[in-house]
Amino acid sequence: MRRWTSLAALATAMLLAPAVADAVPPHPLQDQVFRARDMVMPSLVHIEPILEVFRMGERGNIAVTGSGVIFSADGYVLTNNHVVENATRVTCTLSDQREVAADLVGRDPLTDLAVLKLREATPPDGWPHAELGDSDALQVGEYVMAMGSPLGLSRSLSVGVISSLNRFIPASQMPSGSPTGLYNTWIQTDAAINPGNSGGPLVSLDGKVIGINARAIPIFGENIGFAIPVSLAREIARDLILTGEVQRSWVGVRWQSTENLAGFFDLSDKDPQGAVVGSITHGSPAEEAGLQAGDVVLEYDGEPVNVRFEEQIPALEKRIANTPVGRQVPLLVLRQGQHQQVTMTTQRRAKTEGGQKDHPQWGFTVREVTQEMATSLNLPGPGGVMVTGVKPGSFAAEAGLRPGDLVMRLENIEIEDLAHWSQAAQEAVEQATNRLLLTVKRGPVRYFVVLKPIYTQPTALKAPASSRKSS
Amino acid sequence: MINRHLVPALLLALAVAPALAGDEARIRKAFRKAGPSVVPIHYTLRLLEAPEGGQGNKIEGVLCGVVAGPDGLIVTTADVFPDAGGDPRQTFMPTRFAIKIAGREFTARAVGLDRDRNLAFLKVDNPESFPAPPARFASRSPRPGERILLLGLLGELHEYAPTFTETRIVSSLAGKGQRFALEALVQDLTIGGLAVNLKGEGLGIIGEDLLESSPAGTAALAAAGNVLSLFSSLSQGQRPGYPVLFPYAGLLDDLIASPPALDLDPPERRGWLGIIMQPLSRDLADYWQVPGPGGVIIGSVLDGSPAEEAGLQVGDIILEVDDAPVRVRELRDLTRFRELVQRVGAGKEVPLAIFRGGERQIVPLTLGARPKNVFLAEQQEESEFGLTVKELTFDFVQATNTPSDVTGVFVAEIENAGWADVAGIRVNDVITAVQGQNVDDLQEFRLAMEQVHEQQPENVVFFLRRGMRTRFVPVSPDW
Repeated sequence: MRRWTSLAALATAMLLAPAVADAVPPHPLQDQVFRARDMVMPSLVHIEPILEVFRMGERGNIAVTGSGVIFSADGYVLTNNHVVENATRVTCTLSDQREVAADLVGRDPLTDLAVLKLREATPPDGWPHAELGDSDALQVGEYVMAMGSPLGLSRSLSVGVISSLNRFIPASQMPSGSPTGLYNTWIQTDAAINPGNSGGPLVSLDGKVIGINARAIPIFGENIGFAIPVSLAREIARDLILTGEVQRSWVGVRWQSTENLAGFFDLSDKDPQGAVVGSITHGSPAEEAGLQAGDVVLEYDGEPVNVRFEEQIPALEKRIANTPVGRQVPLLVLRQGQHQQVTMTTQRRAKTEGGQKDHPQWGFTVREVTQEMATSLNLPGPGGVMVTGVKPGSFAAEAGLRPGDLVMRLENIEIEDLAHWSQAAQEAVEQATNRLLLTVKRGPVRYFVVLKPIYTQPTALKAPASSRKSS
Repeated sequence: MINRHLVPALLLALAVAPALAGDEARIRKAFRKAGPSVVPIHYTLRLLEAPEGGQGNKIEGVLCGVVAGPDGLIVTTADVFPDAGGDPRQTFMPTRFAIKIAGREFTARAVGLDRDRNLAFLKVDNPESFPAPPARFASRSPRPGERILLLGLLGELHEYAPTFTETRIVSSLAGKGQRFALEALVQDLTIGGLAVNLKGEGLGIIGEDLLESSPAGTAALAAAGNVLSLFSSLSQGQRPGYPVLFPYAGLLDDLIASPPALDLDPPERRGWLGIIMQPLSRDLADYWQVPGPGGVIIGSVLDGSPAEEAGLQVGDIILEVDDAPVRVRELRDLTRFRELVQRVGAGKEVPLAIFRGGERQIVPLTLGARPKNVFLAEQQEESEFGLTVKELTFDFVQATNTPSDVTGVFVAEIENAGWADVAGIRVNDVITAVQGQNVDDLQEFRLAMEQVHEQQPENVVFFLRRGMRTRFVPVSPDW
């Protein structure tokens, strides 16, 4: 009988066990998530900028949403460049749901990072802020949290792991025409990242920011998001706060890895050193130094170069970018089996974004031609402005102007740049010139376009076309 | 009462019936005889310049064609061939043709192009086994009022079964005198088909008159070779305005007698200037105060062309050729100007009246012969690599904005998932070196590839140019 009793007691104890566990959570992961949440969530920012956009030959505004994170007691916020690019106004909603206006401190399209500063006076004990961690010590499989405003749903948190580190994605283009993602590989995570998460933090279990969420694959993929490593973000933020911009060196080389090319360039198969010069930009420091496509650069500034796989290209690009502008850099080059010393003088990287301008009286929009655009389109020089959009039914459309046309001349004025163009265009509008000759380049061909605008008395400005989206 | 009316009616019926029956039989016979010569041509078009990072857009479609010679010569419309000089990002270039008959596929290649008559000539790669019989052509031209059959094809749903429309020629159009307006609207898959008389003899290839100001025609020309706009009208099913029949009986006879069809566009005889043109619109003429009935503005002067040798410049306006005024106001008039130049002939010295800097000048110029274009360019297929290249032609260089000092061969075709494709070589890349050896032309490419085939290296390194950038591409074929 006693035996029976004790069995019954045991059974009762087993039945009760889960309930007891619920009351006292001995779950270390859950604990860590809660703790990390509490460390970062208060510094999470929901950003609602109004962006100026140019499309179909007109200028308009769109309201977008994005995310950000306060990382200093005095109220600096890290986010993505593409969240605040062309913003006419930025409003931040803090974790306590207070709305605070913010000023743009600086943007860096090449890394897709930007820094804002909260406009309100700093509270006595500082703004709640998250600590920036170390992205160099991460491991695949490590638990992480993404925080932000996916699809505008503010203060959201998702949990996942690091799916891959050091993911190489070829540089892509921003809407402004600037390339981006040249200088970093990416942290890939399966913590859900959606449009709107952009600029929000990727957080480790110890409650530190390890990445800035920037990209998702919303159409074909699920649970594939990409974050910019925080080590890069920290550097860029420092530069933006100090000088409002990021200064970089440029040499004008497109690098290739030595993979499958080692034999061709007489490199050791087992341990091929160096990076292959794939392409050289006309007029660049590399060209001036006499570098050639097919050279293998073994040493840069006295340090060995090793780009065996394409994942290693961003690090080399970054090393070059971090070289002081105007420095004479010694290179050790392997050219047709011979070692050679070459000296190359770095140049400041020209700005990569072109400004835009609309011409509502004529019905088209234009963009500044940057050095980068001029090179990639094989234009004779940086002169002229590029037509980005033509409004259907406008005078410009009627005259046959097309997106992609490079406007070289307005009447007899040779257009130097966007400012010069804007001034010439404004004068023409002020004088109500009703017959204007535009000389454009369409591919390699020159075309002439006669604009015949009719100017009406200025009426009340129509509200610009508006829409809403998540970044 | 009934009887009195019935008798004449019966008599009438008796008299008409055999005539009607005979008519039907003739149509049936004509269709049976000529129908098998009308074949579906499956084509693939690709963007001349693929967007950065993209695979390059592809358009596939079907076109009607007419077998015109025993050696597998097929005539169709030139609609799918873009004009050189269009925006390469919007210009689609045909890269593959295949004729499908009874479940079998016969590949074909373009061998000739007659832009003015809007005709293209293809040749089947293996004519021995090609089952479709060549059409027979009538010896005399058709006349207005004549009843004819338009032989074409039904759509994909009906597996491109042969079909016909009976119609009547309603007008012989002025001008070249070889174009006819028809009573019926022409269905999509009849363009490129065959017009026959009731004996089943070919009268010509069915086309549409791009020169008339039908909205579709103007759009197609205005886009200067932008095939897209043409296809948007194609998809609407029927063409607005009068479709036009081009009888080429004589021309085709010549062609069949003397293949290959390169003779079509005899480069040694036709005059060529080597410029890209813009019509002198009324607006532009008013703006610059240019006198006369029209003109041609030079938008680009091709390297090594007769225009360059004569010192013509971008922005010059050609007013007269050989004392004949250039009546060009709109895009559609440019064809007339091209014809004028071609007719004058290569090697002939002509005075050109031009307008430069507000003044009229006379410039003597010796017309040249038109060099080969991409369609006629020689090619080399490297089947192990899944790669076909062609020699660089003036129109390729022009359309892709390739710098004039670049030499090499361009990639005309890439086999899907072939080794070149896997390695990342793309259509329109210019290959400038193979295994470190410069290849300035097709001959040098062939020599370099011969060595490659002998040595069979694990990685074959191509050095190529894509847009303004160069790169090394290692390809590892399955030797």
